[in-house]
Amino acid sequence: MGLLKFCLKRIISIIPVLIGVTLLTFLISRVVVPNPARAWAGLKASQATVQAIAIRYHLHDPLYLQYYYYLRDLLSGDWGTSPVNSQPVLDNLTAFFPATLELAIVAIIIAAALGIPLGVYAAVHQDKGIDHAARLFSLGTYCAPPFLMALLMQLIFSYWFRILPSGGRFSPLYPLPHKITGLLILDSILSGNLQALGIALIHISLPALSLALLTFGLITRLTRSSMLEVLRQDYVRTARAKGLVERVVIFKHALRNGLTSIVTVMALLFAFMLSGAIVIEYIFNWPGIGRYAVQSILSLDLPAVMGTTLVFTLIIISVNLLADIAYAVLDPRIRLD
Amino acid sequence: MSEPLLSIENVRLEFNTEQGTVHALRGVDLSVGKNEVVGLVGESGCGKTVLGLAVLGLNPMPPARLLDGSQILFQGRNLAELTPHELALVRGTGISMIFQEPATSLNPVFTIGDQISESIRLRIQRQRNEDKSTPSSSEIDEQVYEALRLVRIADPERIARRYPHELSGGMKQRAMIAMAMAAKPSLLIADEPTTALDVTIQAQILRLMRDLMNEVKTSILFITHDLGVIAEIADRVAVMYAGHIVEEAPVGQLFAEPLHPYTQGLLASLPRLSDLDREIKQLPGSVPDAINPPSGCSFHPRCEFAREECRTESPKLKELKAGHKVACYLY
Amino acid sequence: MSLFDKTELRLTGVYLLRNKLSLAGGAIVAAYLALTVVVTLTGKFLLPYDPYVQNFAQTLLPPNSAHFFGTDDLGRDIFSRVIAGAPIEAQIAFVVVLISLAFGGSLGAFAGYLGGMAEELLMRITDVFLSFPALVLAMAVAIAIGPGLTNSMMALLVVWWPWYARIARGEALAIKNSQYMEAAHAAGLRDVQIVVRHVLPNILMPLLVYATLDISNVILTGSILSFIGLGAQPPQPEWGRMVFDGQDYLSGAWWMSVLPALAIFVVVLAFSLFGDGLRDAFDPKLRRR
Repeated sequence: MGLLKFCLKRIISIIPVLIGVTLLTFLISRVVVPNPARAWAGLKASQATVQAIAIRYHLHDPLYLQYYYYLRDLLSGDWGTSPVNSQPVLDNLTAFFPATLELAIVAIIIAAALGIPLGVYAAVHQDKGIDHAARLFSLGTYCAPPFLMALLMQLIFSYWFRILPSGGRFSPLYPLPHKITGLLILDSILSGNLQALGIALIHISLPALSLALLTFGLITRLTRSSMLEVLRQDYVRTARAKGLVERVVIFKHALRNGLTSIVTVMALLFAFMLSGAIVIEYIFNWPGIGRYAVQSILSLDLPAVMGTTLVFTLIIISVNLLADIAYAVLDPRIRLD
Repeated sequence: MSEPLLSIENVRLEFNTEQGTVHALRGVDLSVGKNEVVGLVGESGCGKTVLGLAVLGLNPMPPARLLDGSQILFQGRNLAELTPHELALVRGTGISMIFQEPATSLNPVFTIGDQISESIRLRIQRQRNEDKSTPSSSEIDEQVYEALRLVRIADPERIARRYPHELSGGMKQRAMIAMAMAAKPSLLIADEPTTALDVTIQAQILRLMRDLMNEVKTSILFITHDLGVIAEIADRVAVMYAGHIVEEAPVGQLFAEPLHPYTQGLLASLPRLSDLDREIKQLPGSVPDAINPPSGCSFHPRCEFAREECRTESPKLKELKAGHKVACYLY
Repeated sequence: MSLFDKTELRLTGVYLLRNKLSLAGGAIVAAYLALTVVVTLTGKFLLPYDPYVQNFAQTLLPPNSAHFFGTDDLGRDIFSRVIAGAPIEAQIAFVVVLISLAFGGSLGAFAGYLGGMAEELLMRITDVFLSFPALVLAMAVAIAIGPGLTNSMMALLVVWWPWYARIARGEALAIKNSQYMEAAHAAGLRDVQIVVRHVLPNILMPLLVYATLDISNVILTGSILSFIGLGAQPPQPEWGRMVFDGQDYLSGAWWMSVLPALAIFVVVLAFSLFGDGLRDAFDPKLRRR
């Protein structure tokens, strides 16, 4: 079946999942919470406000009706209002999203650039010194709590050596680059603003490095095991029998097949990375949805927490979908159905 | 007799495994001449596939080890002594190999055309003549189609765009042959290429290989366990048992007058349509353990003619009549 | 098909012994568990200092011979607090994993064996749960039901059970089609009996191996939950919380945050190494026979 048809099928199949996800968040925010009206209004709100909230969100109606209103609100962009800053949650989320996106992209690039070659190397030299070292190192970084990585980075590079800033996305002393995409690095490049580029890069380096170190271990492990599997295959032997040099055999014939499983697990990796981003953004005061999530929890802002929960989940579902499609692009056998 | 294309002398190969050292090849002598098809026949486990892989150094070398004194002479060099990089230069354009399972031996993520053009580019790169012109991609495509036509594929333009999983077993095997031949090797090693195919397709592929040999003048070392296939395609046959060659003869001679008791047993165990009343004799015992092979002649535990000397020392291949060699104390 | 076939255990033991890293991990795990038991039984008795007593004359002291890990902003000895907090992590991890295993595993086994609507329903439900990143869902549930040690365990349970349900279902499917299941059926056993007596014991091994690896995941996620304030409340010496409290003092007194964070790291790493080795030991492809 063609690639297009495959994509459409996959997209349609996530609709029940999306319904389930919204149902679960609905249940958590209305049923699991002991007093939804008060939680939604904010702990300091007056009784009048609480009543108003109860009416606005139909909290006295039967559950199935509440769910209908909930879905309707979600789809029309009303994700609730934060009692802490009185702004619509969705506005907050869209404002903070680009920062997280930028951090994630830079971190993944660093992690893949380090992890994939190391994984390939470890697989090719299986059971030798480098392999053991790579495995230990990647396990170590996978097991490290995200705050350990972040705090050590901050300690060493910001406080002891003072070469990198301890937080923030940009310096308050300089003007931001002209906003095109919301991604500071990209905007700086597009508007030719080298000074802004430098500042943005300096500020993103520690958080991105912390996040990358956290996930690079997983990439190395996955690349290694997928390559080990591939290197055992007959077609690798055929490639050698044809007279191709070892480098071509590994990087063209083997890796290309290994990539398919790496791509599918990138989705798993993304989920792992998002969880780490929450802590890392908070520690480095990076203005993304991760930091927003933590701040919302610390201030008991229920609408905001539910909003971030939904957004994170939607991101993961989209990434999974993209991974499935990428898999179909990379491996022509999948398109048969 | 003109100088052989490939000369295998005293090749010994071992595998290190947890259970012990597997003696896969224990002193193999074999040669393949120009323009001939040599059949290598034996039961599974006798080492015939290992030998085929050993010529090109394709056995994974950490567990496998070629012992000193092994000589694999090709175009004036001993392949056993080459570095992996030097060996890669011989593969494809000097000696090529095709395998038993075309389904797993072709790379699933590249088209047939891509994989064949790799071999063609390799050949061109190695030919490095005075005119250093690199052919255009359409010229390479033409050569890909030519290679596919050579293996009797009728619609090469369409097939070249296909992925391996979209082709039938027979087509895949033809594509593999096309890929191997595209580099224009002097010798093709074929490891059980028809075993995984239906009988009718098998016949087609064998005919194809026979025709190819006549057209292109590539020699073939044909490895199989199937005596019927050998009868169809080989000019000369070598019979292998427990890491040794035990008999070697022109194909007609071998079937008419098998000398080694093992060969006799093999032939006797074949059912024959022309002689339905004949009792089918089965060779007693089973293939010896490659970790602890029997002393002396490996076949002696199963041989009805075994004598004292058979238990102590392994007999060497001796040429009895023109072209007919056998390793047995009976002669 | 005995679970505790002696040869299996001997081979496993031999394999583990040969794998030094797993052995080291196992040693640390054993030491940690022993410590947990001792601290739970003896309370503050064996600790150098009382983990709750504040001492404003001794705030923010760096690690020295009197205070191995230094003191925090309230003058409490960090070493004593780290040791005192050890049982908390273990408690969370074991409770969450064991209950998820029991609950999720049983559900999955039944669904996998029964097939049809039951299986379909379970798959859909676990699909939804597994679409959420674990931490995010745990955070949402935890904030809905309020902070606290027990609540954070419940939040983690909600997130964790689907994994076991999925694995159990997969294993049950594999067993379902085996011949001796047909024999059991033919012998007239009812479905429930078959699942309880035949399916569950056989899927227990792979589930347990997964669970050992999973303990480190639970500890990690649990520590982040407590870092954000959703776990055990102060003055309880939970490690994640201690890391959070020490953030403000990072430049001047790094030991407040870094040492508890390192403690988490060491325990998680130990469980991972040991779990890895255990899993490799049970993998028939990798094991030498």
